[in-house]
Formats: sequence, C-alpha cells, structure tokens
Amino acid sequence: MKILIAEDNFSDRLILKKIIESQGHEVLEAEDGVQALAACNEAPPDLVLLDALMPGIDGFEVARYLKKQYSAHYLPIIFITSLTDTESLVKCIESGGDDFFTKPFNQVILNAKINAFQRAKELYHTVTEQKNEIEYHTQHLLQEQRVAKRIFDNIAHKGALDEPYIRYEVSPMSVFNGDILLAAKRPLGGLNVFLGDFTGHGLAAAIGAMPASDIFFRMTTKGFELYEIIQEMNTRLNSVLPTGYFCCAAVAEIDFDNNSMKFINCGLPDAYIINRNTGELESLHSTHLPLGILDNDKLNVQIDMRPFKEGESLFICSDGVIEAEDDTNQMFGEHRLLEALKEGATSGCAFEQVHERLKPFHRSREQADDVTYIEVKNHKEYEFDVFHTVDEVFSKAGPSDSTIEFSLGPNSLRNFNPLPVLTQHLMSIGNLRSYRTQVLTILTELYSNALEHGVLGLNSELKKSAHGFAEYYRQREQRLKSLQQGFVNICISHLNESHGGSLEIIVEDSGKGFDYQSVKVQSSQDGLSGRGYPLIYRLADSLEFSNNGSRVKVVFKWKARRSTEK
Amino acid sequence: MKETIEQLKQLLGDEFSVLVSAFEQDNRKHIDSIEQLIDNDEAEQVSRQVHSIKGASSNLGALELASVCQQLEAQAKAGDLSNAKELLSQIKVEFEKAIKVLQSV
Repeated sequence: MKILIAEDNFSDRLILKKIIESQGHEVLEAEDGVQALAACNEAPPDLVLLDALMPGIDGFEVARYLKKQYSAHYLPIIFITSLTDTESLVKCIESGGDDFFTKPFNQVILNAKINAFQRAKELYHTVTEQKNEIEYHTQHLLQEQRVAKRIFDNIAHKGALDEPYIRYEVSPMSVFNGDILLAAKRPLGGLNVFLGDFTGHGLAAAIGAMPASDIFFRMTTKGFELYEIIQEMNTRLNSVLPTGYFCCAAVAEIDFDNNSMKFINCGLPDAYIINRNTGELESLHSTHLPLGILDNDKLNVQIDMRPFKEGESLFICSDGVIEAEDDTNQMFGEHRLLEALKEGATSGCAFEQVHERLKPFHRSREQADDVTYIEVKNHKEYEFDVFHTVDEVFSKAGPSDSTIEFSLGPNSLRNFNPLPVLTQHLMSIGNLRSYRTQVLTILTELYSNALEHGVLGLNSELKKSAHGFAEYYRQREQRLKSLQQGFVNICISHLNESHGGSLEIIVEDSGKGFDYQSVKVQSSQDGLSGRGYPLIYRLADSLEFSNNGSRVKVVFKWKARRSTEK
Repeated sequence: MKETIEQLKQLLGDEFSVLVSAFEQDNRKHIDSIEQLIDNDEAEQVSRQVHSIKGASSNLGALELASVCQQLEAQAKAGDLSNAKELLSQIKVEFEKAIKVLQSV
C-alpha cells in the first residue's frame, strides 16, 4: 500500500516511517497539513496517518477535506494522537477519521491496523468492480430496451384503438417491457383485437413483437380468418423467438353486426365478458399454451365462437395488472380486479373502475412489468361503422378485364380459405380498391353460404339461439373434418365500363339448394344470424338464383370515384 | 527507557543517531521558545509546544520527561501558567537526562 504520514514532529515521523517501511509499504511524508493535501492531490494514497495537531492546517481540517474530495474512493484515515480526552477523540471521528493510533507508538498495534485497512481496501475494490460491472450491464439493458421501444414504436401504430367503443391502457414506459396491444378493423366490419405479453424485456421481446404486429395488421386487413392469423403468428414466433421466450396472448374477432365473437386465450389471465344489463361477469380462461412454443399441429388452435350481445363488453388484461403492487408490497390481485369489474359493470364503466382502483398499485413486481388492459364495448350508443372508408383510387390499372375461376374439392374446403387470394387478385384491379369492403362482404357471404349451407348442409336456424350458436360451429367443424365429397366453384369476371366497371360473381355448390324465394321476403335480420342474402341485396346490383338455389350469380357495378383531383 | 531504545535501534539501524540528534535539536528549540512564551503569558502556545515534546519523548521511552510535560500541558491548557517556570525547569532537567541516556547507547 501507499501510505501518507502527515506529522510535524520529525522524530515521530521518522519512527512511523521506519515501522511502516519494515512491513513493505511505500511511505509518503508530509510535515504539515498543506503538504499533506498537496501529496494527496498529486496521487491519492491508500491510507493516511494523520497527526491531529499540526501548525497551519490541522489534521481535522485535512481529514474533512479529504473525505469530501475523495468520497468516491476508499481513503481511510488513522489519526495519530497523544490526545486522550474524549472530546478530542470525538472530534477526530467527526472530521472523518476511521481509527486512532496513540503515542507512545506500538509497532504491533500499528501493523495490525494497517493490515485490517488493507483487507478492507481489497474488499472495497472487489465490491466496486462488481458494482461497476452490474451498472454496466444495467445500462446496457436499459439502452437495449429503449432501442427496442423505439424500433417497436416505429413499426407499431394505434390501429383502431382510438375508436370510441374501446378503452385501453398501456403503461407509459420509456422502455419496451413485453406487452403489445393491437386492434384493427376487419374489412367486413367488426374488429380484431390482440393483447400479447412477451416473456422477457428489451430486444428479445421486441424481436417477437415486430412480426406479430405485422402479421396481425396485414392479415386482418386482407380478411384472413382469426385461426389463420394465430397460426401464422405462432409459426413465425416459434421460428424467431429463442428457446424459453414466448408470447401469452388473447385474441378476439368481434362481429358487431352479428353480435358474435371469436375468442382464444393462450396463457393470459382470465378475460371477461361483462354484461351491462345483468351486471354479470363470465370468465374466458386460457385454453391454449402461449404462442411460439409448439408448432401448429401441437398447438391445435381451437377458436371459441360465442355470442357477443348488445350490452356486453370484453375485458382483457396482461398479468402486470394482477401483479401490480402498492407501496406496502400488496398485489392488486384477481379479487380486486373482479370487484372493480363488477362495480363498473351495470354503469358500463368497468374499465374506468379498474383504472381508478389500480392507481395506488403503481409499482410493478418484477423489475418492470407492463400493465396493459382493454375493454371493447358492444353497447348500442356507439356507432360501429360496418364499412370503413378506404382511399379512393381512380385508375384502370391492373387486370381490369379478367376472369378468375376457382374450383374447390373436399380437401381444399377443409384446409384452404380462398378469400384472401381472391381479394388480393381483385384489389389489384386499380379502381376497385375503393369498394374493397363491399366486394369482400359479398364474396364472404356467398362463399360461407355455399360451404356451410350448401356443401355441409348446416341449418342457419340453429344460430338463432346462444346455445345453438356454439352447436352450429361444432357441427360445422365436425362435418368439415369428415367431408368426403362436394365442391364449391367460384367464377369472377371483371368488365371495364366507361365510368367504372362491373363484377360478375358466380358461386356454385354441390348442395341440394334451398328455398330461395323465401329470402327475398326477409327484409332484415335479427338474432344472431341467418343467411347473409339481405346484406347482399343491399350491396349488389342484382342477385339471381338458379339450379334450385345451389347456383347464385351476383352483379356488382360501380363507378370510379375520384378522391382528390390532382 | 532502555528497552524502548533497544527496539528503536533495531528498527532504525544507522538512522538511530539521526533520530537522537533530531530529537535533541527540535526539543531544545521548543524548550527555548516555551521560556519566552511563558514570559509573554501565551498559555495556549505553551500547551501546544509542550504537547509536541510530550509525544516525542514518550515515543523514545523518556517517560519521566513525558510525565512532567503532561502536567505543564494540562495547566497551560486551562490557562494557568502560575507554576509554569518551575515545571519548565524540571522539564529541562529530565530532558538533559534523557539526552544523556540516548547518547550513551
């Protein structure tokens, strides 16, 4: 060690120097306080032996200065003193002294003290090194999370989260902590909602968030089915996420028009259906493993199809809500969440109740877990615009005089959804894009009628009750699985006309047809569902049945619109 | 005193003579100035100078000298110099004794 001796008395200094040097330490000498400070400024020693009474700047002052100046260092000070009164000794300690050494000098005691400080010094070094290392890693981690957040913010957008029937909360963290909340309108009206909670923080979590968000928005706007979106996400997450990383998620496809909802919970806490009319809650448990762990065959996505009646709302949250803690380390817990939801149920403000009650629970359990929750309300005071506006285009680009034909056999009907492919083709016809939702609606209705009522022979009456609704979808799945023969043929022709175009859609199925005269009488639908023809009547220019109702021809004419003249 | 001196000789080796002459010179200076300080009635300064002699002499094992120094220091610290001249002459006697012992070994 390098030890500074500050002692004005030559003979005392000489003796100290000899004792310390005999133990192999390096000695710096100072005859007074000024010299002592100068020596320290030049190179701080490892230990200071300081005489209390020196001319000029005395030892107390030197000690005070050194402790202040080198507060970040470990610089122990031993006062050399022949003072014996308590008051003086207290003054030594108060000014920053760590120990005393009294005259007459005792070599054994001095050596023991120096050795003790040397051990403390070594310990201090180790601890400092470890602290620096931890600090470095923490900084690194925070930086990583900030970068992740920035990357994620750049690709993510709010989608439909700002719709009036949605209330949501995501923690206002500056770093990415693993939760993502996405909502997008479906082209046929209605809404897809996704709440995901990735394990881990920072980049590892963001790596999965990016493709998940991308797949969600892209496939939703193209009209893919919910199970297809989830399977695609699962496949992608399975391939990008490192082992041990995964994404708990709850996903809903809400159809406000039909008052129905498809829902799946993969590892998130219970979601809830809140009934405003009765004040009752229904739990939607997790039924699947989180995304990104199994391949699709093993994950075996089974989507719950259920009514979502007027007056009901859907509440989804991440586990950060339940695990949020208050100042006394109390967790918010499921019981408080349930209480809040019940309290707000009948007044239609369950979200607001949760929000209010969560306020004291502002700390998160682990380092920082996101607190994310959302309520989507199917309440009649909100307008659900079935057809959201799209950019209008004026152009005759693309395959504007073309015909596309599709023939689907049993295997294709089971495993393949032709709508995204058809849509993609149709939407490349430049000026048809303005009518994307109308065209998609017509196609979807025609296809699902042909498949479900035609090929599978399902009875739409079933869907009128809540129980039958689930039964309907159970039967649909079962019949699809065991389908041996049958077909759906689709033929779409497009014609250019002087101020727009016309689309002729013919859908033919292997079913035995139905009493198509009766649908014309029906003017509006009520209940959960019926065949979608009344909607098509509203949208299409003509609708013709033939072959006992198993062949239907729809003509959709449209005018090219100019959005903004440039 | 002999024992302490033996230890110091062992520790300092050749430099022991340096220690002895430094001890003699420094403290002679102190004793001279104390005489003056007592005349000027500067009790605090007297206490400081005697404190220094006390520390050094105790380290060299000159315990009688240290003991007289201790008495004068305590009185001077309390502002009492009434007895100071007498104690100072005792200090001088003990100092010369100590020097003699140091030089004899």
